[in-house]
Amino acid sequence: MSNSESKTREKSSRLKDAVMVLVVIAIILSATTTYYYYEYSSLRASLRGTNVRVSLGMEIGAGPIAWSNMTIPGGSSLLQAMQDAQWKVNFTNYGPEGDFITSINGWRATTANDTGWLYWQFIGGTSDCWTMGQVAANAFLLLNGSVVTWSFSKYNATTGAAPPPPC
Amino acid sequence: MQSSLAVSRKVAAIAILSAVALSTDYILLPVANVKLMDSIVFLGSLLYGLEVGVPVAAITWLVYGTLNPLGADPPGLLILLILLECLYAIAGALVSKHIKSSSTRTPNLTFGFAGFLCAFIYDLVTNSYSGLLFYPGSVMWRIVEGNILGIPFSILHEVSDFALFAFVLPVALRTLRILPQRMDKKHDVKFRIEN
Repeated sequence: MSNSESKTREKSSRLKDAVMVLVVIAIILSATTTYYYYEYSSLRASLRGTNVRVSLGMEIGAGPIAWSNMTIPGGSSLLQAMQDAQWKVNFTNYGPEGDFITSINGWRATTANDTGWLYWQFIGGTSDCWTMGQVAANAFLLLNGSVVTWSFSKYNATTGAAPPPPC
Repeated sequence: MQSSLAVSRKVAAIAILSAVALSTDYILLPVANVKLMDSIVFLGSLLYGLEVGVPVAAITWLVYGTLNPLGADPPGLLILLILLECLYAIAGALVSKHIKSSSTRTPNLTFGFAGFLCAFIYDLVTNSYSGLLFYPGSVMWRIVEGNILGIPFSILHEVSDFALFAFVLPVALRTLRILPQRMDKKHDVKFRIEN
């Protein structure tokens, strides 16, 4: 077998290997997405027609958290709950990524001051008891007993990190 | 026609591979959907052909599906599981032909892909069967729902099969191919000395 022939064979073998790996990854990812979407839709559907009790908090700087305990329709998002609580909310829509909160009750997030709004979900315990919100406010589904607080704080301009509320 | 030695070798291979597959099934009982049985059936077919792979699949499922601490499978399901396990035997025979006809150096990914595809078809059929049996609604919806709710288990099965076929099987294959040659050589030396 000539050198060029063996090189071509090796190339096609590598291509075949890459295609096989990509097919495996594609199937696994599509299955996971389908499963996640199905579970999310079922959860939304199961909450429809019910009422859930949630606690919404708001913290400006290191000040105390002002709480609103309220009952909202099941399947409501965090953004809907904020609007139900009569908060004056402004946001920018980023398409499929959702609505990004820019101001609440006049407190405006600005890059000039490195300030922004972040929400934290209470996960229990006495240390590390808050987890930072991972999705847009309109995509976050509130369940019965959910405790969420919004924090207006100065973030680290380099790392983007912001301090969690006190436990 | 096959020599009696070849037939004895195949019968011995069926017995040994079925025993190994069964014992690994029982050992891995607490680990849901991770089974070495699939790769052993594939290996049997790869080395000795369908006439070893298919009996290993059938014997292993007949015993494991009947004497199972989690409960015996009903006859209909047992037949389906045996037929689906035979997919691994068919894949083993096909891959064996493919390896002989091509100049693949390390067929790890071919093995992994074969294992993944077999597991995918296996899960598709068994999840549809569970959906038809246990979920309400139209036939189509039951099949769809069975397959969606089975996704976490399917992924575990498919990924573990991919990994076992791609990384463990080549090692087992190398050992099993070298072992008979070494034994034959030893036997040959002994035979010559004795004569």
